[in-house]
Amino acid sequence: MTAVILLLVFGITICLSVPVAAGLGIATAVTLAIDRIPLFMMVQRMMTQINTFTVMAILFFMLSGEIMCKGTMTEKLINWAEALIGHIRGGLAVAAGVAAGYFSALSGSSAATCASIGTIMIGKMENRGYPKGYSAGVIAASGITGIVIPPSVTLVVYGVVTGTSVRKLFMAGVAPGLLMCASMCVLSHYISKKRNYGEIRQFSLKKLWNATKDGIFVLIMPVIILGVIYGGAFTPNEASVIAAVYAYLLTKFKDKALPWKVMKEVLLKSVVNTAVVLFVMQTAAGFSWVLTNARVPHMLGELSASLGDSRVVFLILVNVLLLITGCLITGSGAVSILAPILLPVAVSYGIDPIFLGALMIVNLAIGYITPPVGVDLYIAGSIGKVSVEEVVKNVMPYLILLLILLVFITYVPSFTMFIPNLMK
Amino acid sequence: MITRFNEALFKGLESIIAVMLYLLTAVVFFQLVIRYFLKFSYAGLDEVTRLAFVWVVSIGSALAFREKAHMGITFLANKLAGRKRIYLELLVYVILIGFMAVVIKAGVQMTQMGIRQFSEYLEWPMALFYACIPFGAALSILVFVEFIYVNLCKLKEVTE
Repeated sequence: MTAVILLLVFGITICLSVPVAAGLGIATAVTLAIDRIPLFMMVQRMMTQINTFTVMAILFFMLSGEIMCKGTMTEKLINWAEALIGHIRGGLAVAAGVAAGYFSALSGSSAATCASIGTIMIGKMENRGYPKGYSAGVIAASGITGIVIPPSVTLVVYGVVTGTSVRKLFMAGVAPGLLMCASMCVLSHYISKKRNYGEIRQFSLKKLWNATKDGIFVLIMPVIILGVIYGGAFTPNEASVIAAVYAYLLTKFKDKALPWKVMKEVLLKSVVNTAVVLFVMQTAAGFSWVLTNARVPHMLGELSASLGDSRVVFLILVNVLLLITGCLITGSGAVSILAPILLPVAVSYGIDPIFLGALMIVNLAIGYITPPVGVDLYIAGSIGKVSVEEVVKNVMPYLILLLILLVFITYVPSFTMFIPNLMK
Repeated sequence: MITRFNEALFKGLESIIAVMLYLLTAVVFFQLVIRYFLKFSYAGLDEVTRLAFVWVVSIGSALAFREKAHMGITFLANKLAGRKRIYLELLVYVILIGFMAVVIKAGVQMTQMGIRQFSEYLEWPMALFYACIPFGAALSILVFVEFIYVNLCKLKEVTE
């Protein structure tokens, strides 16, 4: 009964266009009041969610992403990707994919990846004769790996709400993220070849060398960040600070692009973006606590068992649930609400919490390009000045490819778990 | 009136949290460097940075409301136009004020309990930490009042 009221109130409030985070809080407050449970239990949970050291990583990864948008770091990265692969048919579309994959290893969000690569790349592609709609579609699809390839804000959220190791989660994101990125690049090449987009150019080793030399400080950054996390020299938390300071020093002193006025803007934008993620985490903590008390995870387990008691059925259920949720709310929100509910059931099926985290992130990344609330569709559409419908149309082949990859990732866990299992 | 008041208030707060975040990042970074090279760490400093962090994000949350950055599902609301849309928005802000009032009440209760709880290393009262929740909620209410005022003004202009 409690769960029904909770979900009903939540449903009504968000249909009225109340922000999702507030809707979660309102639903929690109403159910607690009906059950006569003191409301400070809710605010206490709101407090504990933000009063930990790990969540600070979200702020610092946001900060490094914002800083990189300001100087020439993104541009250098794109130039390098172009010199590397731009000479083949559809080269710019493939280069956009490579640059987005690389940027994902520097930033923790799909929206930031899509926005920063798109801002430079969509115009470039247009100048070389790619149709606007297709350019926007490529950027929207390529951007989604932002939350899969570490660092990832969404994986930090998963780690915090479920108490699993962020370090291992990051490493679990590597293989699926690279697979998604590489497959999409191949698809871009194939589509461009078929539709005759772009032009074939002469590959120049000298150009690649110059671009590498020029962008070396950006290019080694993921190696530093992921290297120290993988090697265990620093926690993901410490690595996030290192990333922010590194990006700051480079942009401030090498590019000379960060006067205090711009820096203030960058700082505030990071605070706002972080607050958006944390507010959902805070209110979702109360929400999933009520759901757990109402034995919803237990019921979910029974439902899955009644449909055929196996991991396979449960994982299909998880995929469907996440794909639908991903269509409606953003990654961090979905993780904050669903991870605490799904985890106990998954564990009862012998599924590794790390694997569940990686699987959730892949599903929710796909949610960034599914209508009606695919964030990347809107970002790419507004940068490329094309309608969202046009972006959706062009994103379709990528979406189908990603769903096929999702099936592979879901049923071959050893592919995802290979790297984290190597770690001590 | 309220718009101008909020404009000034948030401008001040923006400068404060920008400086706080800048210093916060610097302190966390230097502490990391010192811990790594000198194998020396001072846990008290961790508490100070955490205190700064919870305040920065709590104020940031109100700021996010003012910039309409908190994500909601708007494709249903977008179907409404004119006065109906404004009425819906007014309803949403009233609901949000109600929720934030609850958070303030419960948050103040929590803060009062926190006066006699102390942090692990510095032994500062936890109330210093807890107070950020009701404070952020109060700031959010100011934002909603401003939005309601703006919408009421719009209501006068829209004649259908």
